[in-house]
Amino acid sequence: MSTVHSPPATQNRVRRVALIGNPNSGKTSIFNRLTGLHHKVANYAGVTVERLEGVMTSEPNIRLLDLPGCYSLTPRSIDQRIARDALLGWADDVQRPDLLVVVVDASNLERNLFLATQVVQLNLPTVVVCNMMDVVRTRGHRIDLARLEAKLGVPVIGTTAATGEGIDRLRDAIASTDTRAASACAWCADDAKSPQLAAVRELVRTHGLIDDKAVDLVSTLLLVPAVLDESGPACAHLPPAFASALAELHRANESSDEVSAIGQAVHARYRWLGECVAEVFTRSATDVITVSDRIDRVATHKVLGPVCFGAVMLVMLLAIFSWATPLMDGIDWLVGALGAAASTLLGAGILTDLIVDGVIAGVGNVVVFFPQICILFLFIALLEDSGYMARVAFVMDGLMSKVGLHGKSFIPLLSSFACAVPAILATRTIENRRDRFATMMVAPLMSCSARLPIYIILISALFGRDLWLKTGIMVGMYILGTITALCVALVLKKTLFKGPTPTFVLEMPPYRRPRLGAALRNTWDRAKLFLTQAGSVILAMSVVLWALAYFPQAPKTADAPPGEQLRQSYMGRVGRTLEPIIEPLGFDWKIGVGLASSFAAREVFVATMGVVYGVEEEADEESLTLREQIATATWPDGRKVFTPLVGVSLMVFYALACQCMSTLAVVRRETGSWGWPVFMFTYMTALAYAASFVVYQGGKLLGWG
Amino acid sequence: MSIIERSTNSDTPLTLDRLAVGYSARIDHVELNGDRGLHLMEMGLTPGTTVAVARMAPFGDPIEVRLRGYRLSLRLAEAQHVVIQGMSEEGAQR
Repeated sequence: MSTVHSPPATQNRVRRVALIGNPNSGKTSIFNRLTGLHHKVANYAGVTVERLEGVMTSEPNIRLLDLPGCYSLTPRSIDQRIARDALLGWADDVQRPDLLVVVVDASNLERNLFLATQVVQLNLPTVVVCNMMDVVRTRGHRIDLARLEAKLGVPVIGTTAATGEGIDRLRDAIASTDTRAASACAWCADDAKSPQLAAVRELVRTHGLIDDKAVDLVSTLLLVPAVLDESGPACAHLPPAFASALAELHRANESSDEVSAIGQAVHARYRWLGECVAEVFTRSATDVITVSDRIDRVATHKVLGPVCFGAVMLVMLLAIFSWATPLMDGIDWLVGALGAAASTLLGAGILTDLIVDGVIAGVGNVVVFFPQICILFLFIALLEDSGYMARVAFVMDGLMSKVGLHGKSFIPLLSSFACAVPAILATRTIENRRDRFATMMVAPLMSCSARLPIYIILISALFGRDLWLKTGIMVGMYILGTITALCVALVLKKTLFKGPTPTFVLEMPPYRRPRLGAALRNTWDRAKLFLTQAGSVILAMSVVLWALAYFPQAPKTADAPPGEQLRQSYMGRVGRTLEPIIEPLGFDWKIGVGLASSFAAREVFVATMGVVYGVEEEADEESLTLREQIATATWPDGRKVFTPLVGVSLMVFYALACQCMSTLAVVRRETGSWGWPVFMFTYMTALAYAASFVVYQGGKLLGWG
Repeated sequence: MSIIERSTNSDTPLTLDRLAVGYSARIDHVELNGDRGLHLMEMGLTPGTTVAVARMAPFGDPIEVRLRGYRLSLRLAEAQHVVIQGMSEEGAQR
């Protein structure tokens, strides 16, 4: 790997450059500077870890890959395992990089260099970038980059990604063919010693997994215990023979000697780093109280902290609810217009019905979430970029840990009040798999905005004019969802996601001014990924549900009552078959049809009820006729169908049931298996049924029926 | 006033979770049990490092500490693995 003097005519040779660094080191800003924003976002094979790739501007043969941020090469989450495997050339879908660029936050040199020295030790051509030099200067510190370069044995370049300082030099360093591995790495003593480590080294060497000089480090990394189940199989991409031999070693010897040997190695590295930093970094004598400190005195204050936080969350929710509404109305209108245009263009016929009611309406169901998704993603990007996200986790962790969740679970759960789809995507910020899945599983219990029309029509049809009562019931529904979500989370964490409490070790980065441009781009990338990947599943399911309501066709007779088609379709039959099952909840077959049809999207319930009750106009939650129909509907024996008790029972059912295929599709996408969405649907439906049963039967016993 | 928050048995070693806000101490060692201690060490909590407790979260659990010129938050349950010595008040280093 040492100095390869290729001829200058390297135009057609592609060079792969991987960027790695600590979170908050400005790695992605450097990436953006180098690629000039021309990048594509995808996922790594089989997992939902974002993969950012681009081509260096003016150097079409240089491909850049921005790896997930990590603090060390020990994988503690899926992201970090991918970063490690990509660096080592172990990942299936990432070719081994020709050059590694380690981005280091120069204002936080000591801890950042921990990873950098590990990377240097891999003995691949490496360039170290000391980013945020401007922060170092404003604080009055000084860094001797030449000296650091001598210490590390690889080129060191000072940059400020925010202003573009030093980027040209970095570009030259990357483009120069004379990239080399550490020539004189002063750091070499990886003095972890134990019999088991020796055995792993032998194993790594015989399998020829890595350059000889990196064997010691890589062996140590492979020995770190317990992280295996969190990041998936620690050696998913390694030769099976090696993996099984390694697993055998792990089983054979579970003493704590290994851990303390590794601990010694970590200690030794930091000791070396401490001396190194003392030589190259001159701390300013007058260390000022930073702006971050001042902000945090308020932002994490006992009283003001939660107040601030509440205000930020309120703005976010308001934005999601109110800013999105005109856009959502616009999309609704557009979908309607498109459907109308398609029907006139194609004429009547089954194909037209399929395209208009199946495809266009189905896609519309997804696209209508798009504004909410974008706004939520934008907020998350801004909160992350500014550094406030870490404070949210810090402030909320005390509460969330009581139900076994992580401080970072808070934002996804809160976002669920708007829509569970972006909320589930937002769980990506939670590193621990068990915490992430538990959050994902309970997020849809929070009352999303699609439940609102159902609450509104039932409450306004059945609860008269008492505004206080009506408001109380509405608020009650939201509280019911929230408390159920927290309880289910607690149960899941004690059963299905049982395991050692994951570490809550979170860096509190200094506050930075968020960059709107970067946040917008980030939002767009994520939203696009959602549309393309969840969209296909949702489309397929829409068509299936359309067919269930469309076939068999009712005979076209003039005196057929409105809604006849739906009544005798497969969907209608499902509703009627359901009647004995849902009668204990107080529901008749018409409500059954509503339930069956709103499997895809719960807000469809209102429109379906409109069709079932033969309301001429297009029914929505404001529809007076539909309200009257609901208020006056009777069973064959003349009893009223919708008593207030049935209304509450039905609302409870909708509050807890998982009637949203977009959610299920996204869960499928994020968990990588159908098992989780099936589990989610099953437990939520069972819970909804049980709760409605208790409400209706209990209410009847109390004489409220 | 005591530097140490909760009453402590002098036999048990003093750990980071019991250090009061505004005080600092030197790390003696980190208890290594599985990966948890290693994780803390990799974040810079190695023997001899000075840590200062900067603040406590509003609900009392995670604490924020300063070390090696940066800030880290961790739960009390994790801080319990960090054995400290040589407390002082002035260590509110940034």
